[in-house]
Order: sequence, then structure tokens, then C-alpha cells
Amino acid sequence: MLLIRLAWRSLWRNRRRTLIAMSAVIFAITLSIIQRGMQYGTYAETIKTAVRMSTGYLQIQKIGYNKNPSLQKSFIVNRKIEEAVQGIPSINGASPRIQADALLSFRDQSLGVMIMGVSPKTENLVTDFPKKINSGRFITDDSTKESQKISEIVVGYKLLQNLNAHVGDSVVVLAQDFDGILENSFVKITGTFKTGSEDFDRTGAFMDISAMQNFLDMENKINAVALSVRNPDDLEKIDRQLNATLKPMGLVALPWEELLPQLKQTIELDNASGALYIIILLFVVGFGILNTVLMSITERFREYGVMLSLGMPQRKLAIAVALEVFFMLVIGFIVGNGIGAAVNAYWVQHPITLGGDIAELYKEYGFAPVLVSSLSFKIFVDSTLTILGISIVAAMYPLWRVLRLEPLKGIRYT
Amino acid sequence: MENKHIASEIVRVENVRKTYHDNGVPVDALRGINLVVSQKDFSVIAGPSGSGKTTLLNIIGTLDKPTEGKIFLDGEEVASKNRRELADIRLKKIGFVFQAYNLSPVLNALENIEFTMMLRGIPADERKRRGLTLMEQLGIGELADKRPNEMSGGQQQRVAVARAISNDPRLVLADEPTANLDSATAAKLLDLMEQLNHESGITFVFSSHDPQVIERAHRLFILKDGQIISDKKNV
Ligand SMILES: Nc1ncnc2c1ncn2[C@@H]1O[C@H](COP(=O)(O)OP(=O)(O)OP(=O)(O)O)[C@@H](O)[C@H]1O
Ligand SMILES: [Mg+2]
Repeated sequence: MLLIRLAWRSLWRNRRRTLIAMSAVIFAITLSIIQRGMQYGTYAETIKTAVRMSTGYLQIQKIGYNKNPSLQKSFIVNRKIEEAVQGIPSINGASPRIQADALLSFRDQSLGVMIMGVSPKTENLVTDFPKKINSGRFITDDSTKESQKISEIVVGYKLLQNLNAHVGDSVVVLAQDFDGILENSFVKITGTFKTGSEDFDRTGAFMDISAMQNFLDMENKINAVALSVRNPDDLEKIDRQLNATLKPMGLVALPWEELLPQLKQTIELDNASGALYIIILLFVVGFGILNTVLMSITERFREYGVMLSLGMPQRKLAIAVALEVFFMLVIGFIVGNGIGAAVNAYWVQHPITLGGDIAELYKEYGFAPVLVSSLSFKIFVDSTLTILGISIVAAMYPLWRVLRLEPLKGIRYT
Repeated sequence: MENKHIASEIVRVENVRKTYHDNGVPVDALRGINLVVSQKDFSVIAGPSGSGKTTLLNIIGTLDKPTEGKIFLDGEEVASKNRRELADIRLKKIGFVFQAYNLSPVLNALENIEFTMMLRGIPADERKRRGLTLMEQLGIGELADKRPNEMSGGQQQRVAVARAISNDPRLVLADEPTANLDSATAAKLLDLMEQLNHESGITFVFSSHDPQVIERAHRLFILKDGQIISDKKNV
């Protein structure tokens, strides 16, 4: 207790210097939290936008489908799969899909397309495709209609232009069915979509999944189930839970990182460049701490010498000095985390949507053009631990000096 | 070595030499010191400035090492001890009083006295009780929560004495303890230490060239140029 009192009071002896060192810690922690908050917030938004415009957060597929997709790598949704999905409350949407390459022909024009068979009833739970209608309307549920009736298709707006077709026109679709036999059928264009993805708007199309199953002779087989989740932070856990059931059936649940490896790469690259910034920040704080601690102990070498001559073991003296640094850090951590949390909380509630050139730049690098933050616990823990780590490193040298101090030798040095 | 140890002797200095190197120039601060201090001695090392008084006290107090020769404390040779063991010896056996008091500025009087007791692991309530009793005895009972900068030199030196004796040391080393005090205050402090010497049997070794201190010595060593030129008992 006396040692603690000693350390605490010593801390406040040079108030100004202590406050400066503390400010350095607060500054670093706050900045780190805000910076990471922005990164994580933007990443989360980017991931959400991306998965809502493609695969969903998670997909159940046949093992091997992701690496090398083919119509034949298919499965039937049985009770077990349904129960596994329903048994995880953080999954809040599921929608089946089939994906097939095909040729669309209109008059003398023939173009390659990638047709996704989706269920119009549930697709909006996992992606935003149904909202991206540019003209006409999205496909409607086909399963209730009599099978003779002509099926519907929605195509990318660019595709429609390239085909020289119009909404309402009927086109011929040509594709290999499940057994590798070429099939063809008339389908009617009910609308176009515009997702913003150049590629997809030029080569993508949607059909009702049961129409596709009929057309491709797949009975009720599908290629994937896309899933959406309440909180993306739980993805890893969900993935693990699902796979426990799926793996023995030759199926696998893959998170977006595996479905969209490029997105993952973009984020990792950006994160690495953010780390560089943090490292620079750390150097600043590290030197700040090294400096102030060194200064304050050098000033007190005489007092320490007295304590050592009274019989204080070097180790205890070092503990007293370390305690002082520790108090300074703890206060810095509390205040820094507080400010960081306040700023991030504000930014979570008031995200800024970017416009103009900056937005274009963001999109070019594959990010959602939003400035938004995050309150993920990890941000606070990581920031605090990194600053704690660098502080410990910075305090080593001064502590080593203390450990080497000699007792005060009489009045010659007084 | 043990055979040289007589039950009542507390300090034995044998052929101690100390050579400093001042910018490469050797300075012989002590040149063959031999002395024995017995228990309950109230002894003074006197001598002109630069004669080696501080150097000798530092070596006796294990704060410095002799270049040659041996030091025995309580019959134990100290040369072979490491830093931690020496600190332990100082903590348990020796009390120090400095010319400049050297109290911790962030601790109040009582806490300064408690400090060495804390290092010995004495529980807080006992520390406090003992500290207050000592302060009462030394006539500074009302200063318990004063910081050093709120006390006079004489008061600070009393606190320093209380700190020095709080662990019941066998030996108190005091290097010019009265040098910063006026003569009336110095006299009171010396009365106090004489009383402690009498009542508690604590051995005192002073260094001083203050006549007031010298006249109270039961045992007087006179140093000159690093050698003892006179060793008188019961002066
Ligand atoms: N650390 C040191 N380095 C070099 N020389 C030293 C050192 N300490 C003491 N000396 C020298 O050793 C000699 C004895 O010094 P010491 O301080 O022991 O004398 P003293 O009797 O205590 O003097 P004073 O009465 O002035 O305190 C002096 O010549 C001094 O200059
Ligand atoms: Mg001296």
C-alpha cells in the first residue's frame, strides 16, 4: 500500500510532464480507435454491400463447387439441412440458387450469359438483386403457374442493349442440361437490372429457380443455398456450427471470404496499409513515454539512491517505478477508450455517404463510398493492447537504468 | 576469521584501503584503516575535510567497497555478499542518517518512518503504532502528516533519526548529521541520540568535525590523510 501511495504521489509531482505523457497515450489510443473504427466500419459496409449484390454472407454448397463450379455439383435440401439452418437463430435468411452458363439469342444476335436461378419469394432476404430493377419488373414465382406457360427472365440492362431487344420480347435460351444434353426454350424478358457491376450488367440474368430446374432437368436439385446473418461478427461461429452437420453429407458452408476471395484481398491490403500508419503512431508514443519516464527517473536518481541505501531491494524500487508508469497508462487507457468510443458511436449513428470523385475513387478500390465507424469490441482491445505493448517496450530501458542504480554514497553526492 | 570475532564487537575494519580514480589520477582516500567499534559505543570519526570520513562510513555501511582489506559487521565478512544480501544487511542491521536528511518528498513524516518498516514487511497497523510512538519519543508527535517541505531542518533530521531506528538496527551511521543545523537544534538532536544509545543500546558511529559532536564521543577516531592518527576511549 505504501509503495502504491509512493508511486501515485510521485506520478503527480511533475503534473505537467505526467499530463503530457498521458496525453500522448490518450492521443494514440483515441486515434487508433477512430482509425480502426473507420476501417472496420467501412469494411463491414463494403462486405455487406458486396455480399448483398452477389453471394450472400454464407453459402451451402457441394464440396468442390466453389473452386470449380458445375451444374452437376448439386444437392437436394433435406430435413437435416433445413434443421441445421433453422437451429441457428443468427441466420435470418436463406435462399436457394442454381447457376448455369447459357446462350441468349434474339433475332440474329447471340450472347453468352450466366443465368442465376433464384426464388423470388426469398431472394430479397439474402441479396438486393430484386431492388436493382432498372426497367420492367423482377421475375415472379413460377412454381404455381402451369408449366406450358413461357418462363420469365430478367437481364442486365447492358445485355438487353447488346441483344437489341426490349422488355416484353421473347428470346431463346440455349444451355446444357443436367445430363449434358443441349436444351432450348423461349423465355420472356420481364425487366432489366442495373447493379453497378459492369460485368454482371453485361452478362448476368435471373430466372425462377423452379423454371430452371424444369428446363435443365434437375428435378429439385440446387447448386447452393445463400444465407444472410444478423451479425457478421458471428460468421465464424455459424460456419463452424453448420459444417459440423454438413461435412458428413459432402457439403460445406463457405463464408464470403471464400466466395469472394478478391474482396478479402482488397480488405487485407488496405488493412496492412492501415497498420503502417499505426506503427508510425506507436513510434511517436513509444518515444514520448521513453522520454518522459527517463526524464522523471533521472531527476530522482538521488531519491532512489537514498531508498537503496536504506536497504530497499532494487527489484522493489523497479516495481515502484513501474507502478507509476502503470497508473499513467491506466488513466490514459480509460480516457482514450472513452473518447474513442464516443467518437465511434457518433460515427456509427451518423454515417457520411460520400459523393462525387471521392465516391468514385472508393468504388474503384472496391469499397463502399461511406464513412462509417464500428464499435466492435476488438477495436478497443486491439488498440489498448498495442499501446500497452509499446509502452512496456518503451519503459524497459528506464527500468533497466533503475535496476542498475547504486545506493547513495553518503553526503558526497548530497 | 570467526575467531577474531568478539561477542561485543559490531564493526571491525581490517587494513582497509580505498583508492579513487579521479580522471585517471589515483586518490588514496583511505590508507590502511584498522578499527573496531563495540556494541553500545557512541563513537565519532573526526578529521579535516578530505581526510576520508565519508569514505570510511560508506564502506562500513556497505554502500561502497574497499579497494583492499576487510569489513566485518556483527562478525560477518561483507565482501562476498551480493547486492541483494547487502541491501538486506542494511535494512536489518543499519540505520542511516544523512547530512541532508534525505526524506522522501512525496511521503509525510509518518510514512517516511514507516518506509523502512514496510521494506521489512511489518504490517501496516504495527508500523503506524511504532512510528507514532517513535515520533512521540523524539518530540515530533504532532508532525505525523507533514511533508518534509513543511518541516524545519531540525524536525526533518528527527524524522530521519526515527526512520533510522525504526527497524531496531544494531548500528546507526550518521555522516555529519548536525552540519545543516544550528547549534541549539544540533544539541537537542545529540541529546536524543545519546538517550537512544543509553536506553536502547544502539551503537552510533558519527562522522563530524563539529566540536559539539566530538565532545560527546565515548570513542573518538581522528582521521588524517586516510589514516587513523588517534583512537581514544571514554574521552
Ligand atoms: N567518488 C570519488 N571520486 C574521487 N575522489 C573521491 C571520491 N570520493 C572521495 N574522494 C576523495 O577522497 C578523499 C576523501 O574524501 P571524503 O569525502 O571521504 O572526505 P571527508 O573526510 O568526508 O571530507 P568532508 O569533511 O569534506 O566531507 C578526498 O580527497 C576526496 O576528494
Ligand atoms: Mg564527508
